[in-house]
Amino acid sequence: MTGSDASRSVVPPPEPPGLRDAVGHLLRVGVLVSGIFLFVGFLLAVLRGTAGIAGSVGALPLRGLVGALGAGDPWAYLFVGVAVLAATPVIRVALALESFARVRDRPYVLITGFVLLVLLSSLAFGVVS
Amino acid sequence: MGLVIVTLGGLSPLLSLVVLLAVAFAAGAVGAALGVGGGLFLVPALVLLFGVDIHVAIAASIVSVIATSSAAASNDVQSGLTNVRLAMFLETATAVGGLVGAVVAVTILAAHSNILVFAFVPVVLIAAALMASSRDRDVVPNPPDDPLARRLRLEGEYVGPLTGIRRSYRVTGTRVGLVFAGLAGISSGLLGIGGGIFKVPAMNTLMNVPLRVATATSTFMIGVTAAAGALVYLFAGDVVLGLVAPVVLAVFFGTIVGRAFGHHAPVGRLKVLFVGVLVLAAVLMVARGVGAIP
Repeated sequence: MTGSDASRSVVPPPEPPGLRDAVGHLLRVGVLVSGIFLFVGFLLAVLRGTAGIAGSVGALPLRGLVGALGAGDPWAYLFVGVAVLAATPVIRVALALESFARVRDRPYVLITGFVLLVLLSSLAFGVVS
Repeated sequence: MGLVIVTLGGLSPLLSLVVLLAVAFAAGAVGAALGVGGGLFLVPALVLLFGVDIHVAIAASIVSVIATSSAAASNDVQSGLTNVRLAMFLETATAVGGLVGAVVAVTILAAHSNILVFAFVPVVLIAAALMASSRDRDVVPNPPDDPLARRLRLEGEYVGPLTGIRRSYRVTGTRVGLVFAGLAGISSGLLGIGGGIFKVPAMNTLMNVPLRVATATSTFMIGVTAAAGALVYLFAGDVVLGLVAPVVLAVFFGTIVGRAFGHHAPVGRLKVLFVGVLVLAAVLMVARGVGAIP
């Protein structure tokens, strides 16, 4: 698999089997779940009259989030929607790391591992600051 | 928990909301029809029309950029058009850039909105120039040998859109590609855009990647790039949920419509509109930056 002959008709499958489908499904589910939470939160905000275009600044404390969701707090729904959206690419990278590790593709384990580390650094920076 | 009210001129909150939804929808639709995200329009629109602080506009935009990427990328990943390995390789640079850009925006530039407003201007103008000059450069069968591309098996296959013929391509220029990916990442984290406007021409002209593959691969990468920035903004408190929700929902529906009808769209005229709006936005941003307009 040197890839040096551009004229050959068949290129070997370049990813671990099933990775493309798994990633495709993950992206769809992530968008759908986050879209539902954002839509419900937006409707709740409009119905309660707290929105023209009004909003809370910043992240809700994770404690009490479930209770806030149960109580129909629009900001809790909006926060979950945004959090799911931001988490989807992180899970996508973790999924790829696991797939490449399974087929022992060392260069791509290092590459995806590095990307995951950068994303977790972003999270850590945000939480600390 | 503070409350932020965003209204347009003398309009009522409800009318302002309708205008906001329309602007975000248009940004998503035009962006999708042209194969770029909506961030380039969205940030200037939020700043100039609604008087939103640019940090808040950037945070709202970067969250909507993730939604656009995740929604738009899935089909091409499964059909095999996206070069997943190339994406993972370049993401090492875009993710670092996204993190660095966002950290700079929320720390060093936290109290300097005007610098961010000015930083947006050259990016917008370069984007306009790239869009005006963009064309589909055909791949060459034997590009300069790139040992890293060979080692990482970055080559791929795609079906020509007009010919229907399956063709393979070999990737070159991995180093210069990483540099452009890093710059795209910084502009994403700093300014809340996807950065596809830089990555797509770089992959097409410098790395010998077919335009359709470059576009699909860039769209796929943008989710990770934007997430690196968005996680910083989210916890820094710049993500104003009441602004983000309508923006994300409207951009998302705009993207769906833009992708569905994009191939019917008059791309030539849309490009002229795109360039015109960006140049106008740049001029108005300068005027805002120097305090000539409120």
